[in-house]
Amino acid sequence: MNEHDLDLLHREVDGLTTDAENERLRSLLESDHELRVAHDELQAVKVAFAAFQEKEPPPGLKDAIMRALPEQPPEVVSAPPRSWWAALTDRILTPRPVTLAYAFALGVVVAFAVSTTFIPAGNIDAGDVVGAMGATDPYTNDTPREYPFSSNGVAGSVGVWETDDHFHIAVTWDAEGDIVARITFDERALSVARTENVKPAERLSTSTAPGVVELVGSGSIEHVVSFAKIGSGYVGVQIVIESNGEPVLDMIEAPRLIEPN
Amino acid sequence: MTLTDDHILIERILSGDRSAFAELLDRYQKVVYNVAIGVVGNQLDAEDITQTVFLKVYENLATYNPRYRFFSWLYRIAINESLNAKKRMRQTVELDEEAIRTDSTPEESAVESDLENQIGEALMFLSPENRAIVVLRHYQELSYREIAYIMDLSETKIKARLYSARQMLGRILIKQGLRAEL
Repeated sequence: MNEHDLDLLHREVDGLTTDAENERLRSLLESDHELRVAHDELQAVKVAFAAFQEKEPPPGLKDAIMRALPEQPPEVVSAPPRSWWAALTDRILTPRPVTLAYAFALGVVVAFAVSTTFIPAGNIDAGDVVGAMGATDPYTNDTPREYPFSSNGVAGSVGVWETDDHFHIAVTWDAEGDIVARITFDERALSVARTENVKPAERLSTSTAPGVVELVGSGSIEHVVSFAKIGSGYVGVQIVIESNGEPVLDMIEAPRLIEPN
Repeated sequence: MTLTDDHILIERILSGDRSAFAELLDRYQKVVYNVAIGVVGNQLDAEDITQTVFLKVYENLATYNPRYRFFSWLYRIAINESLNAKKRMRQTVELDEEAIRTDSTPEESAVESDLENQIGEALMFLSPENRAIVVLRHYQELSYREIAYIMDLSETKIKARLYSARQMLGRILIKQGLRAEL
């Protein structure tokens, strides 16, 4: 039994195999005892889950939840609080004391956007940048996520990707007037490792303050901010993009709580 | 129900229409309740978790990003809450599970039970995180991509964990005597 055969077994459990693959699997099962054992195990799982019946919630649960709702409607946040992770700590997830920070090596990784529509390949050479910085290839980990936006005459996108040690945000926009992109983050978990113009900008200023990176600029902008993961807290960012003081994008990306060891 | 339906409901809730939240409960309380059962393994705690999840959804609805599918956001909160609840119970649970592991094999500890109980018992041998992945895949029939978003892991990691968890479950189920029923 090899990995490919095992993958075939699992895909069969998921109902993702083709007729040809099913036929091949039948043939393999006749000749490979180890594979047949694994097959029987997975079939046991399949049979057991097929028997699963969803449970009905207790009859009074809905009423209990409705009674427990606050009187006032959910607060609509017009201006996002800077310390969004603190709000998450208090309101979404159980607070956990930060008792132990662990250190990651702060090797600086320059990352670049992957999507050709996001950052055209001609603008940056991944091999050069990554190799020059002695960093690992950011592609080897999670798939980048891209969030396009278009509002108030501003079009652009935010790309997010992550490696084991770093968290990267790529922001692009094209606008005549000044655009402000404000990235807020949990300083317990992230530290700004590098900010870089991927594309020469006509005018762009970058400023960092505790827990905030702010980009202000006009024209065609492509900028990458890389964070090192430095400890426990929320790995994630809030990104607000404003045009003439009006938000065109307000998003929280991947707020994942890293707990102390 | 569609994405738009959810978003319309959410807008109504944000504008103060409590009846819209009741509709949201009708749509999703069963899902959340069953996810919680799958992770924590009992209906009593699942009831508490479901209530907590929906209160948090209500309180934080303004922070929901409509770029995501609502149910993914909801699942994410439900899984986080279930895992946190499980961690709070960990000391007691681990003692119980340790007792099972040291005093008897899964085969010996399996009482005469139906398939559902068997899978429920077998699930408890997985880590809470892997249990959550299995529950999302097999109880809720979510795609790897959706599970990856909810668990904040790559699809590759989800797949590896799911494969490993399923094989472990299979071995336990067969030891429990499921082979005769295949």
